[in-house]
Amino acid sequence: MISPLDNHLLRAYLDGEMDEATAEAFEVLMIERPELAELVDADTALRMGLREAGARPAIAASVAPTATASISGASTAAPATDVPAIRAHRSHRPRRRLIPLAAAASLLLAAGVGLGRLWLPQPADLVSTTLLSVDRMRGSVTDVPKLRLPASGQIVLSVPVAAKPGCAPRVRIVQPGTTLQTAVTPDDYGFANLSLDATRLALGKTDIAVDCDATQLAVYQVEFVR
Amino acid sequence: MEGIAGGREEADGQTAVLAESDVVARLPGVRALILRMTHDTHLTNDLTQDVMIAVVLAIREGRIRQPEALAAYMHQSARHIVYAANRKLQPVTLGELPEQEAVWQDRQRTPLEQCEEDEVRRLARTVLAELPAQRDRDLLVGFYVDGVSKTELMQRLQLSADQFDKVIFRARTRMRDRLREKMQNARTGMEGSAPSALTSSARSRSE
Repeated sequence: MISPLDNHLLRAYLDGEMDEATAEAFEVLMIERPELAELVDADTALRMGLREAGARPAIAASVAPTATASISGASTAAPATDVPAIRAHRSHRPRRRLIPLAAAASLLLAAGVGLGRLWLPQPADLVSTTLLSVDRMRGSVTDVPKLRLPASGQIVLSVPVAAKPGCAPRVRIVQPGTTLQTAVTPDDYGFANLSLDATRLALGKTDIAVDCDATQLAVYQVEFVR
Repeated sequence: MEGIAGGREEADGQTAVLAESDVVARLPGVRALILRMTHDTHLTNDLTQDVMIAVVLAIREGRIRQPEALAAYMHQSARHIVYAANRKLQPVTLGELPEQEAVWQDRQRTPLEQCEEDEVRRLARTVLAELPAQRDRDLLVGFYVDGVSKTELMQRLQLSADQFDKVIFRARTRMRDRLREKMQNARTGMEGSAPSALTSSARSRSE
C-alpha cells in the first residue's frame, strides 16, 4: 500500500530532490518494500522506453523555447511566449539604475577586503570549502549534471578515476580557451579530489577528462552554474 | 540446491535468523536501484546477481544475522558492486561460488524484468498516448526525453508544481499498471515459452 508519505518521498527521490543521506535511506526502504521498487522501475521504464522509442522528434519542438506558443491545446490563459518577454522587461529596468550603485559598492568592498587583509596578521584557522562531486551514477545518464559553482573561494572537485594498474592518472578540466590539469592519486573509493580557486573555472558546460598515459579513460561532462 | 530451502536452519542452529529467501524477497528493490544507477538492463541483471551472491555468502559466513540489517547491507553491497563495475575493477575471485543457480532462476521476476526491451518502448508510447492533454504529453517528453528540469518545464508550460506532479504521478502509475498487466498476461498466456531478453542474459552469464 502506497501512502501519501510514500508518494511524497518517491517523488522527491525520483526528481532528484533528496540529499545523499535521505536518498540512501529511501533506497533502503525501497529494498524492504517491493511496491516502492515497482514504481521506481515504472519511472525508469518510462524514461528508457520513451527515449528509445524516439518520442523526441514529434513533440520536442513544442517544448523548445522558440516554439512554446505552439502549445495551444493547453488550458492556459496566456500564451507561453508572454513569460520570457515579461521577465526580460522586468529584469532590464532596475539593473540600469543599480549599475553605479553596484560599482561603488564593489569598489568599497574591494578596498575593505584589501585593508582587511593587510590588518590580518595570519590566515584563519579554518577555510570554508565547497565540495563539488562529479557523480554520474544518480539520475539520468544523458542529463548533464549541474554543479553549483560559488562566485569565489576554494572548491574541491571530486572526480571518479578508474583504477588501472601501472598508470599514473591525470585529470584535465577543459573549458573554452583554458585547460587545467594535474596528476592525481585516487582515494580508497576511487575518487581524485582536486582543490582549486572557484574563480579559475568559468560557468557553462565543461569536460572533465581522466587520462592514463596517452589513453583517455573517461570524460565527464558537467555544467557549472551559479 | 539443498542449501536454499533450509538456509535458515543450517547456517547456524542457534543464532541464524536469515535465509536466502529473505535475500530473494528484497532483490526487486536492489534491481530497481541498480537499474536506476546504470540504465543498462543487462548489466543490472548481472550486478543484481552479484549482489545476491555476496549477500548469501555473508549470511552463510555469519557476517550478517539480523533481518533488520539485511536491507541496509544489500543496499551497501549494491552500491559497492555498481561503483566497482563502473571503475572496471577486477572482480573478486572466489574459491567456490555458493549454490545460487536455482535461487536466481526460480525467483519471482519483477514486472519490468519480464518485459522485452521493445515491449518497454511500446508500453511507454502507450502511456504517453493515453495522457489526455497535449500539454501533459509535452511535459512527459520534455521531462523524460529532453531532460528539461521541472522548474523550466513548469515555466514553459505554465503549470503549477501540483499540476506537474499530478501528470508525472499519473504517468508513472499507468506505466506500473501496464507492466503489471503485461506480466499477468505473460504468466497466463505463455508458461514456459520463450524467455525474455533479460532472462536469457542471466542464463548466459551463469553458464
